[in-house]
Amino acid sequence: MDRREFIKKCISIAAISTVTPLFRTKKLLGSPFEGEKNPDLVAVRNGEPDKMFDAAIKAFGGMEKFVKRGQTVVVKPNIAWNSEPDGGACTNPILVKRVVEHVINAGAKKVYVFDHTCHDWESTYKVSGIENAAKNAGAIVVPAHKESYFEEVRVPGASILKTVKVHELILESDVFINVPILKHHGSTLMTSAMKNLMGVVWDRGFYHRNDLHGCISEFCLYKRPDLNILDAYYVMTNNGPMCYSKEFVSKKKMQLISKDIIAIDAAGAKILGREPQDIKHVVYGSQKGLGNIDIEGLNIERIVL
Amino acid sequence: MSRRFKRQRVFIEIFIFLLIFLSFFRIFPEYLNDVPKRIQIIPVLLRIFSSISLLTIFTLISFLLLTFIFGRIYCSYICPLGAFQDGLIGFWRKVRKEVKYKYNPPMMNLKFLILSLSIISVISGSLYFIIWLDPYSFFGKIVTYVFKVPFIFLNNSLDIILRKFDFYFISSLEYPRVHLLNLIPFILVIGLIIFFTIKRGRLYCNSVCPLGTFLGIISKHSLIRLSIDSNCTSCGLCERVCKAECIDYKNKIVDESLCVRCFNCVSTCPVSAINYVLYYRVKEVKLDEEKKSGISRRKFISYITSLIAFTGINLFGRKNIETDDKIPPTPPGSGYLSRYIEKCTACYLCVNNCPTNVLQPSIIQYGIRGSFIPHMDYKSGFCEYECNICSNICPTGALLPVSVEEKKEIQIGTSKLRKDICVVYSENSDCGACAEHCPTKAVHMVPYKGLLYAPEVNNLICVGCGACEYACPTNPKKAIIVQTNIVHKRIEKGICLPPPEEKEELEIEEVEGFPF
Repeated sequence: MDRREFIKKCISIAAISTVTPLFRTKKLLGSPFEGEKNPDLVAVRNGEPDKMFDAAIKAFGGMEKFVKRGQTVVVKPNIAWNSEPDGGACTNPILVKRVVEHVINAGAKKVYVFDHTCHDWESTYKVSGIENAAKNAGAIVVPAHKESYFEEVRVPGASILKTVKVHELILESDVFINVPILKHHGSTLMTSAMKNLMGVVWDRGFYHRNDLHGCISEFCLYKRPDLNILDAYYVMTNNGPMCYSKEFVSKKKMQLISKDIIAIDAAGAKILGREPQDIKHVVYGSQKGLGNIDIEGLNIERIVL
Repeated sequence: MSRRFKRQRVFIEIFIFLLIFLSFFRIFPEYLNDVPKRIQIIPVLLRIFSSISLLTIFTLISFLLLTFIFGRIYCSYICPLGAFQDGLIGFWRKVRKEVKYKYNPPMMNLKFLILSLSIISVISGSLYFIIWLDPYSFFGKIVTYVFKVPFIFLNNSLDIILRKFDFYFISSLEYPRVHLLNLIPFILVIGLIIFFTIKRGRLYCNSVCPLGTFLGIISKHSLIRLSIDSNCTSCGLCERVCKAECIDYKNKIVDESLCVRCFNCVSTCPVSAINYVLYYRVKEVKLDEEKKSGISRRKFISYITSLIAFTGINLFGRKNIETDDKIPPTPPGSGYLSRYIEKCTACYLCVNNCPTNVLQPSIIQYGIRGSFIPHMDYKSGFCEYECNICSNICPTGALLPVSVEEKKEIQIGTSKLRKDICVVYSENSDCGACAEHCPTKAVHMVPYKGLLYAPEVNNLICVGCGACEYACPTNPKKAIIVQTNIVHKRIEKGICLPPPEEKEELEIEEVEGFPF
């Protein structure tokens, strides 16, 4: 290869790689641009939580897209209340187990699972079945019930939540995977991916005192999860967020996956029969440019098992 | 043969001490914590007043019989405070090589004054003396105030170190909330105990402890006694090692009402002249007549006066409590306030075993008559809906056992919402922390303005658990507080469901079964 040929090749490669994405010719080019094919949101229906996750993460190109070999990962389910798996208040343990297994198969060095619970943490970890499931899958289950586990950080660009105490493992870990459950909430109308992040924070009372929705959305200015996996298998449609009676739980058998925390919450709102515009923290989040609330325009991959 | 007694005693003493000690640390499962509290005489005695069961009667009778046969074995084998003192004596022996005891006649007046004050106080409905003088309950306070703090400090520092290496099998614990006013009487009594112990061995047990005095009365006529044989060389070693100060080697007398059956003397005697034998083999020795004689008239009058005065104070205190309406609720299973006050000895076993830390030692929240007993502190936590540990663990029956299902129907208080401070009503901002935590939906959210939902209270189904008060974010005053039911009530059954939330039906276009 002489110099001229080399320069030619260089220029052509550079040209192709810069121009092709503009023309969205990814289908023509095939494998080297597979990453571009990723949907914004994957929605799965009509399967068991673990099977649905297998299908969903496959549509995203596998967990290897998010977790590199040797990384440490936080998997944050919702374990807030004393509720059995079919109570609809905590993330399905089968899903948590499968997520942890995928993360470990992707080569993660360590996987941490925790939540700052509302009920006594020892009992919620047990009753929800998550402690057992995560431990069996190889995760390290960590407490988050004392202030000493939390560290104060600054939230860039925040007007209310200027500083916040966050669990130290969120600061130390490489990858943050959010595994919320979708349920009704008496005040915020919906608990989903953004609301679930209140479980990595120490002082929730501050949120409640100073514009709950504003604080929930501003936390995402500090950190957005690398991946959100929304469990909508058992969905509490009323009288949430604690499992007060199982008669308000309907078995929807759905699951959503997205990198966009606003989009996944907007889609979650629809599952609960709400317009995304009704949920103020989702609206605030989209106004801050944290994601896309208008899910009609998104590339959604729908999978029915 | 004789040396075996002491070794056995020390072994059993340490074993039972550890059982009792660890029952304060939520380490064992509940059924193991059950054992140590059931073999404590004063709690079992109080239990008979609150809930007679065959087991309690059997325990009590067997204790009386054991004491009648063997003497005050409770004091050296089972009493945790006795073991604590023995440990202290052992430590003091290490520090100071020379610790000598010498025979001292019993302080009859003091002993019986305290015993009768304690009995009168129980009868007149206040356990004030028992709270500080029952050895088991006082030991509970020692654990709470003394052992717990360094334990938690160690535990939490270990947690901080271990979690750097990803070991999470221990987790940080909450420090007990200690108020200075709780500490003052505690320090006075523990100071007295420590002073007595290092100076005069088991003097506390033989002069202050009402249980020691009571058991001493029985033990005086016990069947198996310590006797000094004729081959005694009068070396005085036994008297020197007798921490109960009950051996008078010159007259070869062992005062059976003081002896705590530690068997130090038996193992020390170089010629095996002191033996633990049946009564008929003991040589009868005449006690000093003076000691046996009663109290003088003047003393008797002052005695009676003080008792009357004390009863009066008690009744005065009782009056005080009914008019006070700012008192915290009593734990489920306590029934009503005055019953709770009359039964609780403040051993703090429940405080140490409460998973949410809602039970905290009170100061005078329940009035002077009920000072220092545990109260529901909704600043530290809230009562877990699915938990009944405190009612099961209570040694005295101040909290009667209730099943979880029963407990869910007991109303220990009701919630009161203050709309003037509530975030939703006063600032038109979303909150709902109270309704979120409410286990019965007595506090629930109703449509207020547009999409804003506001809390409302239905006290018919409120259990008074305090979850709403604990969760309420307002500062410094809570916008929702629990008002105490002096007498516990039951919630109304059947109206557990709040009206379902009205929602506009959205017209949803479904794509492949998905609403988006």
